[in-house]
Amino acid sequence: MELLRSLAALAEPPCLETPRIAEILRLGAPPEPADYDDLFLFQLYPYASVYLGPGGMLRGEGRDRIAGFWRVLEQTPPPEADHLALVLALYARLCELESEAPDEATGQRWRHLRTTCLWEHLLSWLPAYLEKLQELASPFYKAWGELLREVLNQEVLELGQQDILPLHLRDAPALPDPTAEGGEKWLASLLSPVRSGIILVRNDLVRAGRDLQLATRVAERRYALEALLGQDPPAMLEWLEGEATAWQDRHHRWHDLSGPVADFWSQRATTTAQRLQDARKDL
Amino acid sequence: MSIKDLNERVSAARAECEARGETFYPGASRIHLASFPPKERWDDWVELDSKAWPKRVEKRFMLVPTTCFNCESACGLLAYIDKSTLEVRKFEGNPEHPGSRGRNCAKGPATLNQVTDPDRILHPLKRVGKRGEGKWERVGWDEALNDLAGRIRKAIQEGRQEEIMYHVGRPGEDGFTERMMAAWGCDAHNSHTNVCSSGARCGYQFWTGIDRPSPDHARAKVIFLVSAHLETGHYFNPHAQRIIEAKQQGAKLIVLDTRLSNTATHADFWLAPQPGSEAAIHLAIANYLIQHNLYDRDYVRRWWNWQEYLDKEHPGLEPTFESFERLLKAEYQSYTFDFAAQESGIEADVLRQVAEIVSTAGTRLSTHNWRSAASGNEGGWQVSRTLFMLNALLGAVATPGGLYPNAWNKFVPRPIHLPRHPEHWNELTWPLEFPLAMNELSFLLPHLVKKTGKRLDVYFSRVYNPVWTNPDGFSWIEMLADESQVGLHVALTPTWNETAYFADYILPMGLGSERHDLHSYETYAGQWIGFRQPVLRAARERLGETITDTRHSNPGEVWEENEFWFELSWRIDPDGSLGIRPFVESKERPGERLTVDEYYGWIFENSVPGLPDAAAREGLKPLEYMRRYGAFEVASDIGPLYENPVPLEDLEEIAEDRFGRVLTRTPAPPPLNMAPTGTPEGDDEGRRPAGVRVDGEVLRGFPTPSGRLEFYSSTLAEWGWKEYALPTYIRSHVHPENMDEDQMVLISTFRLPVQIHTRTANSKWLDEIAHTNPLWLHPSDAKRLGIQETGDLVRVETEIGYFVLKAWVTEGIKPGVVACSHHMGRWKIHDHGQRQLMATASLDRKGSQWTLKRKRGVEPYPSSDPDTSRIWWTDAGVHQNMTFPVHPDPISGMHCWHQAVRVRKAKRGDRYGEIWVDTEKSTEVFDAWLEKTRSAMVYSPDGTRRPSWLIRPVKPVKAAYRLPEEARR
Repeated sequence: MELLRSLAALAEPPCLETPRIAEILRLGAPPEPADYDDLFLFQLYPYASVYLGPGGMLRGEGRDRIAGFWRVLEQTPPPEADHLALVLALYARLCELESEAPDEATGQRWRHLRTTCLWEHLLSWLPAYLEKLQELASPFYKAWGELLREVLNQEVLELGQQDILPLHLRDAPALPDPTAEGGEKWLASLLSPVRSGIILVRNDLVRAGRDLQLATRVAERRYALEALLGQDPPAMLEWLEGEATAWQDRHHRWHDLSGPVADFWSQRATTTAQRLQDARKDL
Repeated sequence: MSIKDLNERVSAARAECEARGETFYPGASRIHLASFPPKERWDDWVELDSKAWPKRVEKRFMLVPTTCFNCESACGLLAYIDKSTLEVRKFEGNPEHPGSRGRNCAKGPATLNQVTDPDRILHPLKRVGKRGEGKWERVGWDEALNDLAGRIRKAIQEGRQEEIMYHVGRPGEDGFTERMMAAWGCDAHNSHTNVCSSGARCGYQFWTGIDRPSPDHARAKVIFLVSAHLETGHYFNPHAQRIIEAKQQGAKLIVLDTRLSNTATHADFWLAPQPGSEAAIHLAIANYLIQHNLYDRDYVRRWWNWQEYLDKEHPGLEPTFESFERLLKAEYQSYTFDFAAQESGIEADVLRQVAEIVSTAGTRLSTHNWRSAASGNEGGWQVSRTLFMLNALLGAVATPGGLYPNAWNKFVPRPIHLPRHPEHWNELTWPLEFPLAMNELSFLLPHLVKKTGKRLDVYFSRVYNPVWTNPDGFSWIEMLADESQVGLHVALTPTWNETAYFADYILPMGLGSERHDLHSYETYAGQWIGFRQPVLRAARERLGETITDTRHSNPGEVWEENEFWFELSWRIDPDGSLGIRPFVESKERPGERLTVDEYYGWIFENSVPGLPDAAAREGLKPLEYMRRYGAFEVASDIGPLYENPVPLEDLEEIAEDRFGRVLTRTPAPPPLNMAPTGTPEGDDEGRRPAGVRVDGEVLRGFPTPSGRLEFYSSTLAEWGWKEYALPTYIRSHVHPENMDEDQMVLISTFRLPVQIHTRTANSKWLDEIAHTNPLWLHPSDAKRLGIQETGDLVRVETEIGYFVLKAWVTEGIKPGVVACSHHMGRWKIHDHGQRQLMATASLDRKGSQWTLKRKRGVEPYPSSDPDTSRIWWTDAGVHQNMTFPVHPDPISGMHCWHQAVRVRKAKRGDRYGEIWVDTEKSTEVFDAWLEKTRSAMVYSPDGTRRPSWLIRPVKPVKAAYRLPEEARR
C-alpha cells in the first residue's frame, strides 16, 4: 500500500522529496533536519532490535530475526534490516504482492506473510515506540506517528490479532534478579525495553535529574543512569518506579490494537515497578 | 480524509510524478551507506555547504562518472564538480556501476588528494646532466613527441624493433597498448605480471585455457580464499561486498593466510599454514572428496580429459571411466590429512573439518587464489591449480555460487582498428628458457640485458616503478643508469617515483579522473564495461563546449594516454610508409588522426550489444550514455558456456580426434568479446577447433587443446615437465627442507588495505592512515631472538643483502614466519618526490655493493595545500624489495617472492631504513635459478619457442614462434 510506503520514506532523514510527501499526506509543515536528528538519532532509535533485543541495543537477535524474515522472502537482508523505514516498506511491498497475486492461493500465501510481518515485526514493538514518540516528537513527527497508528489499526482490523505472542517477545528474557546476577546487569536491563517494559530515553534521564535535583552526566544512558542512582538511590529508584507504573497504563492504551502484545509489555512494566519497589525497601 | 482516500491520493501523486520522468521517492535508502543521488539529478545536485554551517548554504554540483585508477578493480566513481568553479570537490561511488555498485574503499575518494597533490608532475620534463642526477628542464610536448617519434621510426626502419619496449604497471584500457605496440609491428609489450599474479594465472590456464578465476561469491555456500579479498587484492571491493552478502545468507568462509589478516578475522575457518604448503592442503581436501566418492562423478566423466590421460600415460589400461577413477584414487591417496598436517603445521582434524564443509558445497563452491601463495613460492602455480581441482571435482565451474573462468565474466569490445601481428619475437621478454611462462619475464630484464648483450633503444616505463616494486632494484638502477644498455628512458607517470629519477623524459599522464580508458573485470557472474573519462572535459562538454584535446581540461599540461599514443603513432609514421598510420586514422575523416570521441563512439555504437538500445531509450547516443553513467551491464547470469551446443551451421566438414575434440571448416565469425583466452591449434587442413563431443553432442567446451578441463596437461608433459602433468604438490624454495635451521620465511607480498603499491603515495588521507611497515614477529620468535618489544630494531638478512626495520611483536603471525608489507619504504635522493610518503635517502655504490641510508624522514612542508604543513608522521617504512634476489619459477616465470631470511637484533651502527645489497650476489642467484629451467632449445617438441595455444598479451606471427636457427641446428 502506497500510504505505508510514503510513511516509511518519512522515517528516513528529510530530503528534497520530503515536503512533497508531507504535503500529500497533509502532515503539516515539513520537518527540519534537526527535528529528525533529535528524535531518531538522539532519542528514539527507529530500530526494532533496540526494543526487542535483550540488550536494548542495535543489531543482535532482534535484527537477526527480522533479517531471517527477509531471507524467507528470498531477499538479501539489507545491512539495517530492522530499521522502521525498511520494515514498513517491506510490509507495503507484501500488501502490493497480495493485491497483485494471480490466483487465490498465491494471494493467501502473501497474506500469510503480510500477517506475519505485521504481527511479529511491527506490532511487537511499534505501539510502545509510537506511544513514546508522541511524548517527544515535533508536531510533524507527532502527526506522522498518529497517521501510522491509524494505518496500523486499519491493518489489524483487516487481518485480525494473533493468539500467540510474537517470537521476539516469547523469547525475551525477563528482568534479572539483582541479588542473583548483580546490580550491573539489573541496571542494564532497565534500559532494555523488552525486559523492563519501559522506554527510557536520554531526555528521561535529564528529566529525572531535574525532578530530583541531581546532576545528569552527559554520557551514554547506562552511565548516566548509574550516576543518578549513585547520587540518591532511594529517590532515583522511586522515580523509576513511577515511570514503570505509568508505563503499565500506557501499554494498556494500545490493547485494542495489539491485544496480548500490550498485555505482555504492561506485565513487564508491572514486574519492573515491583522489583524497583523491593529494591527501594532493601536499601 | 480516510485512510483509503489518503492511500489513493499518494498513489495518484506518485503515478503523476513518475509520468513526468521524475522519481517520487528519494531513491535508495538513506539510512545506511547505500545512499546515492538519483541519476535524474546528476546535472544539478544540491548539497549544503558544510563549511557554512550552521547557515544553510546550498552548493550545486554536476555529477560526472569515471573509474577509479588506483587498484585494478576499476570501481565506479562519481566526481562532484562544483558548478560555480568547475572544480572537483569530492569523489564518491557510482551507483550505476554493476561491479562496485556505488561502493568504494578508501582509495577511491582519495583520488581527490592525487588530483590536488602539490607535488604532482604537471609538465613534460627532460633530463639535464647525468641520468639519475636529478636535474630537469621543462620541455614542450611537441619536442618530446618529435624526439621519441624520430628515434622509434629509425629503430623500426633499421629492423631494431626488439629495442623498443613498453613496460606497464597498472594497466589502463584492456588491450589498448598491446594493440598500439602491435600496430608498430613491435613485440614490445612488457607487463609487471610476473611480479604480481602470473603464478595463479598459470594454474588456472592449464586447467581451463583461461588465466583468471572469477568466483561467484554472492551465491556461494562455501567460500575458500587463498587471498585477502575482504581487505585487499584485485577486485577486493566488488568481491568483499559479495562475500559479505554470502555470509549474511549463511555461507561458510575458509581463509588460508599465514597472517591474521582482516580477511582471516572474518573467517569461519582461519588456517595459518606454513608458507608453501597450501597445495598440500588443497590436495588433502581433494583426496578426501575422491576417496569418499564425494565428487560429482558425472561431471568429471563429462568434462575432465581423462581419456587423453589414460591414452598417453596408461595406454595398457582399458579406456573406461572406471579405470580412470581407480587411478585417480591411487594417484592422490598419499595426500592424507596427516601428510598435509605435517607440511602445513595445521592439525589434521581441523583439515578434515574443512574438507567436510567443502564437500557440502556442491556446485556452490567459490574459491579464489590470486597472488598470495601462488606468488610466493616456487611451484606456486600448483596452488591455484590444486585449488581449482576442488571446483572441478564438485562440478562448481561456471555455476551459480561456483567459479567461472574470467573471460566469460568480462566483456572486451572490438575496437575500431585491429592491428597486425608483429613479425618479431622479443627474447628479452620471452626468453627461450621459459617457454611456458605465463607472462613476460619482466623482472629479469637487467639480468637478461647483461647476459645477452642486447640493448634497449627506447624504454617506456608506464605507471610502473620497477626500481622500487621489483626485486633486486639495485640491478635495475645499474641498468637504467647505463646509457649503453638503455638508450632513452621515458617515464609515463602522473607522479614522481624511484624509477622516474632514472628517466630521460618524464611525461605527465592523467589520474583516474583525467584520462580515458575502457574496462571490464570479472567481479560476478555477469559482464559489464566501465568507462574512465576526464571528468572536467565531460562536464564542460555537458555545458556545451567542444574539447578535442584532453590537455585543455586537465591541470597544467597533463595529458592522457590514448591521445598520446595516437599522436605518437601518427608522428612515427607521418607518410604511412611504415604501415602504422591506418591504425590511428579516422574512419569518419580519412587522412586525419583518430580522436578519442570517434574511437569510443565507434566501439559503443558497434561493439557493445544492448548499449545502443539502452542509450536510445534515454534519447542519447551510446557515447553520451557512457559519459553520463560511466558503466553498462552487457549481460548477467552468465551460465556454463562450455555446455552450450555448437550450432549445426558451424560444423562444416568436421574432423574429430579420438577424444572427441571437434574441428570445423566453418570460418570463425569475428569474435564479439575480445577477452583473452587460449587459442588451441587447428589441423593442417585448415580446420579450427569448434567444440568437443560430450555424450554424443558437440558442445562449446573450453579453450584448451582437448576442449575439456585439463586435469592432465599434455602441454606440460610434452615440454619437459612430465612429473607435473597432473595437479600436484611442489615443495617450495622456502620449504623447511630447503632452509637452514636459523632461517625463517619472510612473507613480503601482502598489501595494506588503504595503499596500493606506489600509486597512492600521493594521497594524504591514505598516508596519514598507513605509513609504516614493521616486521610481524611472533612473541616466541622475539623471545628466542632476544628482541624485547615492539619497536626494537631488527636486521633481516636475505641472500644478497639486508634491511633494518622495527619489530612488531604480535600473535597474528605463525611462529617461525615473519612478514612485512611491501607498500612502504618510498625514498627520494633529490628534492623531487612525493614528500608526504617518501623519506630522503642517500644512495652509495662501491663496485657491486650498494647502500641506501635514510637521511631524513617525512616532514611537514609549506605548499598550496595547507595540510602539508600539518604532517605529523615522520615514518615512511622500509624498502625491503631491493634486498630480494630474483626467483623466477621455472614453469610459470613468476617471481617467487617468499624469502628465506635470518632475523637478528640490529647490530651496533644499524640505522632504521638502512639497506645493503651486493648485486654480484644477485647475479649468482639469478644464474642458480636459471639452472632450474628447461629451455625450449632442448625440450621443445615441435621446433617452436612456446606452445602457440597459450595466452600471450601480444602474439607475433606464427613464423616468429619458430626456434632460432642456431637452436634448430
